[in-house]
Amino acid sequence: MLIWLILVPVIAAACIGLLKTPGRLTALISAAITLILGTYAVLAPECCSECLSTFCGTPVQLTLELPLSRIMVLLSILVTFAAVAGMKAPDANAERSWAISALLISTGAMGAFMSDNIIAFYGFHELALIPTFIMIGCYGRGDRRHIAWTATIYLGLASMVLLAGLLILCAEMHAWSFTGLAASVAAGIMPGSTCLIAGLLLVGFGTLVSLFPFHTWAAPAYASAPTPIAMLHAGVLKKFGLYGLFTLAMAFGPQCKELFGCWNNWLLLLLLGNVLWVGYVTISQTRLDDMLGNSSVMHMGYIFLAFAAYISCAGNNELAFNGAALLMLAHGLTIALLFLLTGQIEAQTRTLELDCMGGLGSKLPALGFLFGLAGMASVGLPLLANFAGEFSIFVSCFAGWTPAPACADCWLGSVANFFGGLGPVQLTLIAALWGLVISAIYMLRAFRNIFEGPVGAASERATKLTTLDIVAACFLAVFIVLFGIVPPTCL
Amino acid sequence: MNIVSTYTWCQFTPAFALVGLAALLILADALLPRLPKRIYAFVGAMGTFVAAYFLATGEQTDIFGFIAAIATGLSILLAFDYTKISCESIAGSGNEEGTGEFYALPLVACAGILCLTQARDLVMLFVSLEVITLTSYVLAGYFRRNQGSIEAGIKYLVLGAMSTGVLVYGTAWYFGMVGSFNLGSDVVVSAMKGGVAGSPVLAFGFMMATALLFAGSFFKIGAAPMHVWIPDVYQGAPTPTTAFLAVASKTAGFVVLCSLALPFAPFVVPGSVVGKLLVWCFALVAAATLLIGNLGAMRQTNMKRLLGYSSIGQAGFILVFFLTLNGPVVFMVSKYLLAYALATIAAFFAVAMVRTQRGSEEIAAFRGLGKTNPRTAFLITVCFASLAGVPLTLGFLVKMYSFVAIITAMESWCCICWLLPIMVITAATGFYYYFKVIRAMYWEKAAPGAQPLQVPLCTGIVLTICVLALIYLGTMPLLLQA
Repeated sequence: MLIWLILVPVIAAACIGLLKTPGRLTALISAAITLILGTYAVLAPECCSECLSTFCGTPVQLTLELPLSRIMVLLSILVTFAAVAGMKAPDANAERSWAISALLISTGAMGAFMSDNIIAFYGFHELALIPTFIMIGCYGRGDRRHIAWTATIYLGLASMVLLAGLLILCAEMHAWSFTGLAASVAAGIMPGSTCLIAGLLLVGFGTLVSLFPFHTWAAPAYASAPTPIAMLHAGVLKKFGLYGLFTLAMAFGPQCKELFGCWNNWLLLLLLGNVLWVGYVTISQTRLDDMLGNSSVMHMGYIFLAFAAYISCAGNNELAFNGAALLMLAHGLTIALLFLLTGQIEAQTRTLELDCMGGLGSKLPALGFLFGLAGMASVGLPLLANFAGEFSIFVSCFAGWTPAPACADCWLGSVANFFGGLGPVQLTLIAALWGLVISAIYMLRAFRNIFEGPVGAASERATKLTTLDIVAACFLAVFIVLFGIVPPTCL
Repeated sequence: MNIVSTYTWCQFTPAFALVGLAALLILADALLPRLPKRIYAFVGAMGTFVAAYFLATGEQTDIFGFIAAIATGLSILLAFDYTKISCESIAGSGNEEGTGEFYALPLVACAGILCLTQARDLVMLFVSLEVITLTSYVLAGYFRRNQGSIEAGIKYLVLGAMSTGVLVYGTAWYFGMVGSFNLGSDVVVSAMKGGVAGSPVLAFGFMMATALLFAGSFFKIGAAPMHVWIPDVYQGAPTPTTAFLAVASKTAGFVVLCSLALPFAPFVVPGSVVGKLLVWCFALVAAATLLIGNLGAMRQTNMKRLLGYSSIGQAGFILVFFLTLNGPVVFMVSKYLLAYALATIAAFFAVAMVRTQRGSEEIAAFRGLGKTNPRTAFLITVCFASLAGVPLTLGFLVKMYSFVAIITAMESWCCICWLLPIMVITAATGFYYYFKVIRAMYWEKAAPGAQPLQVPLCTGIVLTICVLALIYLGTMPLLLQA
């Protein structure tokens, strides 16, 4: 049955492209079908694994039995539905291309998240990247060609680095699937060149997830992309890198520290760059779309923090894993909702300059409420989905830590002693907590500038939201609240 | 020991049939001047397809011969669509006078390739190779009213003659050192174990022979440093000829390289000095070819030149397979060549179509195709995506095999691990320059007043079939039960 989650959007895209059926309606039907099928599959994953064929001696299997698959498929179907429902294209031709691209991106993401075979996992993701580039180049805001070109080169190079890393790993482990890797590890096989492999994987996956300093493609690309593309890429597709890292770490079990351990301190340093450096960059943005693009890059730092905590405990850290899974889901929903509302704000006011708006809340209270909700979720307000994820991650950084002073046989140990025996993960966490303040600053300021105060010139133009606009936004908002109260777990 | 190998006549049946067909067509051209020349193209192309059918299904399947025959047939079909330009550039007055041989000569070259795939000694190898190159010289300079074509013909003739000289010289050394023209593992092994290993003079001579023979074959495949002729000749030669050179002639080059390199397979084991030397030689040539081809392609604005550099770059990826000589080299090389051939031939069809209707071979002439001809633009996109190595196309699979080959080779030869980062970087540059074409089609606005292209029937069919094959073969291992 899982194959239909991939085939339905492809068939719908083919219908739109070849038979010229109405773009939005066809896509909406396809998204609704995958929503129903996907919900069933996520709730009853045992009955759904299926083997399609064998390739390189390994079965090409679509499965939901990998620990993160279910939660990522859930994210994909939710965001796809909202993206398609809230789509507002300038004309019928654009609507068709937007719908085709949105469906293809969703297919690629879903295929990657359900693949057990590593080559298929990689291939599906690459497939989803192509429509992203083309859509940014054709329909983006601002200097679209330059931005799309930068993203193409960054992600193309990253993909090649990633492919090299995955191939070396698979060749040395003689296994071409995640379950096969786990079996090889259980049989006592470990790759020889762990440092090289882990480095390639971290740079490859890291660039795809916009890890500092490989992040410069991301914010402009999200700011420029058409709304449904930004929602799907920032919300769903970008999580591919983190999904890959966590799934590989899970496959290696306690040995994941041997694989990724040698880069862990570097990773901590880089993710601080994401949280603090990009955080300050976000504060200084004057356009809403730029701000959201940067904020999405910034929040990736917390998920990397969970990964570092998971590795430093040698996989014995369920809280970090669950927290990361939850934050990926929550961040995907939140950023998708924020980009959706940004599209609506732009349609109403015809500008995204924060200084030109103001008082929009009195004209469109529903929009103001939804934006406030999404903004607060993104900041990490309790009872909304992101809070549960971020809080789990913060707590998980102290997993397995005891306040005994570290031995002072090297300068690092002396430094640790000075900080009361805190290790690198804990110190990074303390520094990264500042990021909460940073996100509160920019998000609240944006909310104030757009919705509060006297009605600005741009806000005067605002008229009325359509029902479908509100339905699409409420659809995501409901799940943000729901997962905040009842966080799903995957272990 | 036999000085040359023995062959049976039936090994060469397809080749003789093609030569006979070519002779018939040339005779008909002389005796029936009023017959429309397009009939020759059609008959010639059908002839190669029938030959390809027998090569694929006959007693001895010949995968290289199959690829070459299909590629020749398609390049003749390309000439069929290119008649307007051919007439302008050959007779000058727009009539078809003197264009007949343009459709018949590729058949002779294809016969040469089919003989080449059967060759098991250096004499046969050399003679078949000369049949191909002599025909190619004529074809490259065939547009006598086009300065670029004449220049391409001369350049190809001079450099090609030099490479032939190198090959003959190498053959002479080989015969002198081994006492036979035979190319077989047993000959090489006994030579290395007997006289050559014992005497430094003979060892030097044998190395000299091998180096010269390899250099000669590197010219045909466009491996660095014997690649210099490719961009100019590809740009200047008539587009159907360029397509033939880029695919069929390159296949011939790899046939030669396979026949020369495979006898050395028993030596490519850890600890062998000869093996280490060979692996280093192939690794250096592959690295240089990858870098020159891919970095050179980045600055190109002319499509045929871009495809020329692309063909150098792709040859670099194929050369990587030769690092694992005791593995399934022939299978991998033929698979890569098939992926390259399908995408490149389709790209040349697109170039010819744009040249005929918009009068330019620049990338800029492709602007706005995404708006004016969305379906054709999509087909061209898939071809270039396959060349770049985008997943779910055949191009990705074969590029992945190339990466697997270097990783496998690294297990035995740690000293060549520097090739991997070069492959990563050059594969990523591929994304840059192949996507330049896609970018032009979708992101750039068409020149004012640009009309939608009229897609000729042949071009439409060939593009569709190539794209379907690329996607089918690229996803088949994923979707079908293997």
